[in-house]
Amino acid sequence: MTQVLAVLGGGPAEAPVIDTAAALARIAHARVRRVSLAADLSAEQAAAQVLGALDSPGIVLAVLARDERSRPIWRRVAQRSARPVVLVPAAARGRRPEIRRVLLPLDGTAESAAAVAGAVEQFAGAGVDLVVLHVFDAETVPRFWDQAAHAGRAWAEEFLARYCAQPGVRLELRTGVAGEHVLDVAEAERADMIAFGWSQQLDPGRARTIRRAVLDAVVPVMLVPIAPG
Amino acid sequence: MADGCDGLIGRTAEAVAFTWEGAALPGGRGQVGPVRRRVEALSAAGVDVAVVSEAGAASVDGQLRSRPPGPGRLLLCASRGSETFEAGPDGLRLPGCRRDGRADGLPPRAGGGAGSSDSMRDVLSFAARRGVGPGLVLVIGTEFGVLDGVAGSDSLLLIPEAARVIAVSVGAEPGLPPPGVLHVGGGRAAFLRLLDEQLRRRSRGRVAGVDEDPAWILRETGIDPLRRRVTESLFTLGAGGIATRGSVEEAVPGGVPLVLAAGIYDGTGQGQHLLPGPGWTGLAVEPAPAQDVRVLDLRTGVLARTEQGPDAYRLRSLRLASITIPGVVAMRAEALAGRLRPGVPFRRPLGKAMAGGRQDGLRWARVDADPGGGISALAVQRLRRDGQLRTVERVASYVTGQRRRPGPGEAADALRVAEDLGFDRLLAGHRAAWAARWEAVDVRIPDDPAAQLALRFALFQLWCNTRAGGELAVGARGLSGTGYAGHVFWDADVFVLPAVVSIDPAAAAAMIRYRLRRLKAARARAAGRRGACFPWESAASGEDVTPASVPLGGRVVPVLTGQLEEHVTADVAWAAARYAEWTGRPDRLALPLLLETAGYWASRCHLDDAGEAHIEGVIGPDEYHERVDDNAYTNVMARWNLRAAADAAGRAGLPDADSRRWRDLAERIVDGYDPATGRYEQFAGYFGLEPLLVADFATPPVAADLLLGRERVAASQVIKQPDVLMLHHLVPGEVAAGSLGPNLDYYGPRTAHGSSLSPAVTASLLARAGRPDEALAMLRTALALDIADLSGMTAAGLHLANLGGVWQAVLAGFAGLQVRAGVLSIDPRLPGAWGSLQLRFRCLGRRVRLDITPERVEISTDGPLLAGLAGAMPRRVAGRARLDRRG
Repeated sequence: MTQVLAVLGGGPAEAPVIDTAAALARIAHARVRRVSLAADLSAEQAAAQVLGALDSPGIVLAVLARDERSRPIWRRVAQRSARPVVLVPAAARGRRPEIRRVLLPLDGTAESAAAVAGAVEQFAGAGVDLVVLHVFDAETVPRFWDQAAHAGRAWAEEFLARYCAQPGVRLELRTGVAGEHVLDVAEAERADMIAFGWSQQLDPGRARTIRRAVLDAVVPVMLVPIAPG
Repeated sequence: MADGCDGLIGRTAEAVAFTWEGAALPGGRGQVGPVRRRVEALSAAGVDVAVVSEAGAASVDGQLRSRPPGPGRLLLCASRGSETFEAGPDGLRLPGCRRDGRADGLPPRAGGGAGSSDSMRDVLSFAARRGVGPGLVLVIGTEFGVLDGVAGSDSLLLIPEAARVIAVSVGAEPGLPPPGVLHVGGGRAAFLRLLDEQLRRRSRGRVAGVDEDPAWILRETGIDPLRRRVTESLFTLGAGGIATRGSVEEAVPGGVPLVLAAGIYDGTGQGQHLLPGPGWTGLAVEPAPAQDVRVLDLRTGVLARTEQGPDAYRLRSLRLASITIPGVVAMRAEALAGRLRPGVPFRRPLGKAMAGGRQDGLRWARVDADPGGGISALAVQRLRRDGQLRTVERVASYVTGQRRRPGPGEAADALRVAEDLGFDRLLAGHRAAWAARWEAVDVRIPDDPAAQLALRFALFQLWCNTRAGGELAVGARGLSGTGYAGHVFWDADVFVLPAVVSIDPAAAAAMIRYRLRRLKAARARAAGRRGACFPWESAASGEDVTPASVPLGGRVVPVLTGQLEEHVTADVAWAAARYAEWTGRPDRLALPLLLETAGYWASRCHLDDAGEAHIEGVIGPDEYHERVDDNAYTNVMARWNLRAAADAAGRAGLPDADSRRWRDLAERIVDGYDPATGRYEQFAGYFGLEPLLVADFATPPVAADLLLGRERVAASQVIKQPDVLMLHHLVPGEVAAGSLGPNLDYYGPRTAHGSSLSPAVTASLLARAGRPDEALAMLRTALALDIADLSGMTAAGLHLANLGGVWQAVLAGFAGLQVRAGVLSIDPRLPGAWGSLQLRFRCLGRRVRLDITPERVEISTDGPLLAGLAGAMPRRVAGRARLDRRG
């Protein structure tokens, strides 16, 4: 039986962690396995405990609280886990427990699309509404945009065919700095979760978009590691 | 190379050449009958045969005594290469008219014959005229290698032009044959088996081959599913207004197999889109090929596929859209019997219902359009076996109806003609017809094979996506994909038509008729004004089908082009006038369009207190700036329209009251020209906008509106594509002399080229401005637009305007061709990288060839033509002439 790990360490985010884990478990046809972290563990020890649990057979992902207190733990877990990690803010408390709509920021690389492909398939299979977000910047903006209505449709069809070929997926396009748009679009779309494929680098200068989303989102953020090589 | 089915070479040849004294009748001994029977059977199957002999033709003919029934022909290349005859039902004859010592289509003879090499040249030349390239010629000899220290006599057959022939030696070859020659040995017995193999392959429906000449093919390897979506568009085959995307035979994720027909729309209003027809290329192949090579042969108009891997029973396929029987399509496929299941000939297109069944032993299918019309098809399918291989042959015929639903029986005649021919002869006729096309229209740039190939691709797809007869709606992506829903924009009038009129004038006439037949709708659209106002975006009825809004950046933004981009009315008139001028035909098609559009402009302009005429609140070609006043392009095109209509009315002897008024109004239209700077102001107030250059924020081409935002771009001088400069491209006589340079210098750095229409036109303008090397760089961007998928959207269809634009860049830009008052003017500007440029095109009812170098222009025509270098007195050219460019 597949399992979703709910990592409990006390604090205001614990309830939404449990709710999110339960919602994800329903989508994945899994059970929730709770793991409690002792208060006297160091961050390294706590992270090791979580990572060890994540490596157990049948575990598909882990759900952790994302708050300032637990930052050293969730950072380590997110950067080292080979499986998806979902970070839940305390602000998620009080939101609807079900995951009905997921925002998928995709940067237009095959790697990041491949990373979330499995999760996308599960979401789609469970009837979750998927909204893909792509943000143009100076490097990725199309060279040609002939007639906006037609170009937008053709471009969206091609982008989704390449990176998220699931029926019923919508594409939202923005221009600028991706990190500035992810949260706005998540709010506008009333997304219940944001899911990223990522390289597991949170150092300054890397993964700005993800770092901002992780730190400022009021909904759970799923981080799916991009497979190496 | 053996295919596991008792084949010696495992390939189908379209022509066979063999040595008489070596392969067929070694030492002059042996029964001739078995050779004659095979030669005549090959001829009946459509295969050309050439006998190469040291003896005289009469001697060989006396021995062989073959009078092949055709359609394949029999050549006797005799007397050590000094004579070539065709043996037909009435005896020996020259294969073509000899003029000046040269046979028609045969290369010049090097005084008395230089041995078998000349014979080989004759064979290849004869085959080429029928669309058979060297790679499809089987050459059988016995002495290719060294013999007693001397090169074998048959080595003379291996001329450089024969590099790709299928050379086979049935001789002993003690010195080993050279590389590239397959040594099977076996003497005459093996020779007869080789001929039998060709006959067997045809009788078993084996897949034909392609001559992989790099100057003529697009080749794709692998099975990257993302790239495959692009190649589906690139490999579109079309004829007679029906086109089929180049999808693979088996169903694959993300594949978009599609059959589309010109002018057949589904839906109403803005939601109209081209109706997908019954699919005919689907086969079940399990397992699907893991890796394949697909080749689009531009020279013969076929798409071939070969699965990669060691299995001798790998999948092969070949398909065509017949240009000799428009509406007929055909394919052959072969694979291990257990892998290949043909299924029914027709597949339902995605999202549409399809009716179908059997009729008189044939399969039929029909897809109906809403509210009326449809696409019907009829097919015959044949399965055969060749050992463990299964072969599938499928021939289908399509018919369409714009308002009524065509019965599948309407396709029966064409299908019957195709069936009577048989696949091999259908293919042979198709190849020969494509050879004739390329004989009349072509481009050769010896120093730039990449550009040459890309230009040939452009010509190929212009032919595939257009057709002569009736009316022709050319959508922005033609018939190659769903992009732009098949809607017709100014792309067709200003970018596609000027190219098409030089390669297929009848197709250009059909494009004019599309507009003519929608004059009524255009009059209605003028609403409150006189004349006709054509819609920005058009489909079946001629009403405007421009979307009203578009979601953009989280907002819903109104689309104003449908209301405000009025220059299309003048563009339609321009296209009609261009057709008349280029073909030298009377104004019959152009006149009503010129008059009605002039009537519109006359009522659209408003006179100010000073008596100057203005056109306010429009969008020009540069769509970054909306609702502008006195857009130079719109105003000058309106001015041209009024003058051209007045001229045409005069020629037609019409009352001149309108003409006088139009000419007077034309004089009053403001155009934004400043003689002090030589620049045209793109619209009133443009010079006061933020002087932003594209290089300040990006490297063009770039969709600047997406990058910077619509508001920012609209407040700046950045423009999407040539606007003022389009005037220099279309109506150079309407703009101030010498103004091209100043406007290029000014607007060039401000042009984002965010439209696929932009690079090719800019290339043409740069060439005209005497900057051909910059022009070549811009041309390369345009040439790569679809082939390299620069837009990221070629999967949705080819950019037809760009394809027309690149051909125009070469004709009008680099060659500097113009037609005025029945005279072809030539003003070349070759880039430094091109030592020569050779063009073949149609003009003024003639087939014209130009051979351009920095020193001279050589022109040849198939009839009298007035032509000359720009600035020089034109001369009457009949046949060949040389025009010296210097001194």
